[in-house]
Amino acid sequence: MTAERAGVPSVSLVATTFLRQGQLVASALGITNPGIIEYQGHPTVDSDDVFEGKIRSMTDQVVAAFASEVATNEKSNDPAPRDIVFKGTLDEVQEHFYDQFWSDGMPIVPPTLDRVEEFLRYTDCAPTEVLGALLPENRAATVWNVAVNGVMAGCRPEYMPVLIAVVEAVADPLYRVQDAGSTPGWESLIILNGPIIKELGFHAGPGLMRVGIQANTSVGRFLRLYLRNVAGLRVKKDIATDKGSIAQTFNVVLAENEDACAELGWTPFSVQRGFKPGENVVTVMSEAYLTPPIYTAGDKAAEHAAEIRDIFGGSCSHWAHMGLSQFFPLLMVGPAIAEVFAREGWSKEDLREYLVQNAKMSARSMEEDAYHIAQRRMDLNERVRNGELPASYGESTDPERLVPVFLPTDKDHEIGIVVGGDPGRNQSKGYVQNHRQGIPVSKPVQLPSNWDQLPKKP
Amino acid sequence: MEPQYEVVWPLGPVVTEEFTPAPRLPDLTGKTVAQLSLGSFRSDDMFALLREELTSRYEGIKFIDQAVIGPIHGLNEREVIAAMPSKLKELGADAAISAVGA
Repeated sequence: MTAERAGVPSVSLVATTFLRQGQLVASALGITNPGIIEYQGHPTVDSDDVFEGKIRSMTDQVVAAFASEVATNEKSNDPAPRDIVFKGTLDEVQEHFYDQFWSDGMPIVPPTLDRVEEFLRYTDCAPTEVLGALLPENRAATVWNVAVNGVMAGCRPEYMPVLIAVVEAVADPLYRVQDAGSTPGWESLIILNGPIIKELGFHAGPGLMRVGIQANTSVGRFLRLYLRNVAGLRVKKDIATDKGSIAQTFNVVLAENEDACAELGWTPFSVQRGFKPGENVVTVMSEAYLTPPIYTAGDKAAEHAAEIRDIFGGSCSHWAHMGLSQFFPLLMVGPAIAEVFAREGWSKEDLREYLVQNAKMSARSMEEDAYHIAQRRMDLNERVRNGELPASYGESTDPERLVPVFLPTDKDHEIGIVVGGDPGRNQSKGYVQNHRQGIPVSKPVQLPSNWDQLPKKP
Repeated sequence: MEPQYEVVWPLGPVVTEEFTPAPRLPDLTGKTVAQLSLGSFRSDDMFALLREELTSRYEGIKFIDQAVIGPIHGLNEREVIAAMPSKLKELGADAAISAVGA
């Protein structure tokens, strides 16, 4: 599309499963019949002979596509924000929204004008304010449609400032929301810090990642609903724009246990993200998969650190080759475990750096993992010679040599640490972030000027 | 009687800028074709085969290697895509092939 807009006719080769998405993205960006040529099947599972035959046979289509006229979209007749698009009973609304692919398969709260306007009381932002445009469908994220989807998700009106901050985060180009439907099927994870946790009744204690608490659950559901409706990432049988191969589903909001942090002398996650303690902050990041529950025992920090290194580092190792570009995995440390570390003077940063220095894997494993994803040959020694990786990845040619799972902490690589979970148990857990897709983006929660006067349920 | 609910639209308007598509190319003879790679899924192999096929059909056709433009999907894709219009012009590209969405 960039080439087309630059006056250079272009043709794209796309594997079968991405054909429809390619057409929809092109349409969202202005062209109704893009020059997309289908590679039937997937190139990584074809033999060399089959692969060569397919590419050679596609040449005629490439030539024809360069010669074919392309058409631009006609102006669409979208409803205005306050237009009534449907009227019916509760059941009829559910059926209509499901048939239109506007719901997530669960009952939604009908977004009536009075319900939406109730949400708008909890922000000083104008309803028409545009927070960004969300690919792949390139639709405007507005304060108004944040409220509409917040109603639908079962949020309370007072969650509106959090909802706006969540959408501001995913609309930030750094987040790469257009990749939220990529093959790994990663899911967004919202992390909340600040006094608003208690003020709005978010749960930060035992079972905090379970569905059941309205604040954590409805805001998590809201984001998945919003990504369907405004970003256009939908699972729709054979024409899905969400290309998650197996995928997973919405995470409830992770509210950090800031009381435990304060007791231990540990800073909240928001401080790691560059904010002052006590600020209300939303961070959104991708989560490709979880680690197993990480049980650690003993009264010495080193014992716990070693086991966390093995399980958290081991889980992250499968994604380490992807993480050479950017990597922001998150470790949730149980409060009782965090206490052991704090007792011996370890900070979150100390634990992070221990993991960076000590989590290792074989070079062979990393190179094999890279091959199996995209049939891309990875040679760590070559990347060291090219200056792309530090010398620690190329200390010999032995494929069984150990190399770091994590690159040194910098702006593109950082392990996040939060405190959460049952304080009476010895369990931690890791969230493996999806490299350059969905890097953590943090936004402050902006409260309206009359926040203190507005009703809220704690 | 069951309550009736009047509901509003949960989506947002598509925000596409209008533009005029590039003129089409019925003949690639003597043209320069830029190769835009996503950097994986055997895209390099695809380009090698396409170059062979197109060279056999069109006299004087030239290719800009994908490494010259840079990978259009990856850590630096924002910078690569931002620089692409001027780079395509600087390199004299008449056409572009991107591979592969997979």
